Amino acid sequence: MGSPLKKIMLCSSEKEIFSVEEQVMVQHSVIINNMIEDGSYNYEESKIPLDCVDSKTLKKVIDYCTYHTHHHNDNQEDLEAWDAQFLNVDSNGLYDLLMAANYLEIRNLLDLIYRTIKNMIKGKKIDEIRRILNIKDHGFTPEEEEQNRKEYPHFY
Amino acid sequence: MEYRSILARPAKKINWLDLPHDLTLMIIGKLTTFQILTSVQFVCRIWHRICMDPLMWRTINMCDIGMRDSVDYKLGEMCRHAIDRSCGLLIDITIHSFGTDDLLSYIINSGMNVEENLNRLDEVHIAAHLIHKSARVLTSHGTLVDVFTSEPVDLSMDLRRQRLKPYLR
Repeated sequence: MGSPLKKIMLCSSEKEIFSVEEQVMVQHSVIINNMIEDGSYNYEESKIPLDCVDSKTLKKVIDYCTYHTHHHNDNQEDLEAWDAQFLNVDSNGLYDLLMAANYLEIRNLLDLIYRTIKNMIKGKKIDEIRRILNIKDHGFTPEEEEQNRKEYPHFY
Repeated sequence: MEYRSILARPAKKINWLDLPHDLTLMIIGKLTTFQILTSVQFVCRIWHRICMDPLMWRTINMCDIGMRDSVDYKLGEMCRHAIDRSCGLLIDITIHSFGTDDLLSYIINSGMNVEENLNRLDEVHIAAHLIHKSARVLTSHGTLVDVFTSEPVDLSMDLRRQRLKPYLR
């Protein structure tokens, strides 16, 4: 576990540098925890490059980790309300967060995102799911699609 | 000038089909059998392929269905279809309020390795457990598997089925 006062530097795909309490990232990100533990992070010089995470998404991820580090003793209801507000983003934002959480291996954030996607899809018809996830090219041949629509009209 | 609106779109329009395969698997793996069979599998070809993989059907959960959604569907048939897709890899099945003896023998005869997965229970016991109460079964891998959960039995299965009957197609 890192000391609470130490800071580490994260670098977004736009080369923007974010300085974060070490403790915050170590507690949540498996990858960063490993880097600190095996000594591959140099406090004087290192920036952790996150080439596939843009600044906007990285800021959200840091917000999530910071909040959950400092509020882990809050009651479950308050945390869930905060999480719901936190993930009140469009499907593009959710996609970026999912990729970032996966890259940094932030397991509780991943679980939260999976649950959110599940709720987005729940009870929705096929056309709605395609619209929500912006799936334009479903990849079925026109014949297959027509066949499915004919066979299961109430699913669409 | 018509083109302007196209060019003005946000540069990044995300397509969820670009999601790495293992993440898509995770998402679909969290959905219920009912959702998969009634919508998710037809969303696109990539998802369809994932939904045909027997490994996706090791767990069949037909429990979390709102009654309003489910009355239009033949749940027993749907469940058999799900069992067929598991190709005998089924290790955990949860059915809510539409279990019948026929369906139970279908499960047991599905090629599911009863010996391996339902260790220490013979066929009769499985049927009894499936009908009456939830059963946790110790598998030979040493893991506990929920074979069946139903709400506390206040109505007999027959009675419940009768009540549902008028709503079924």
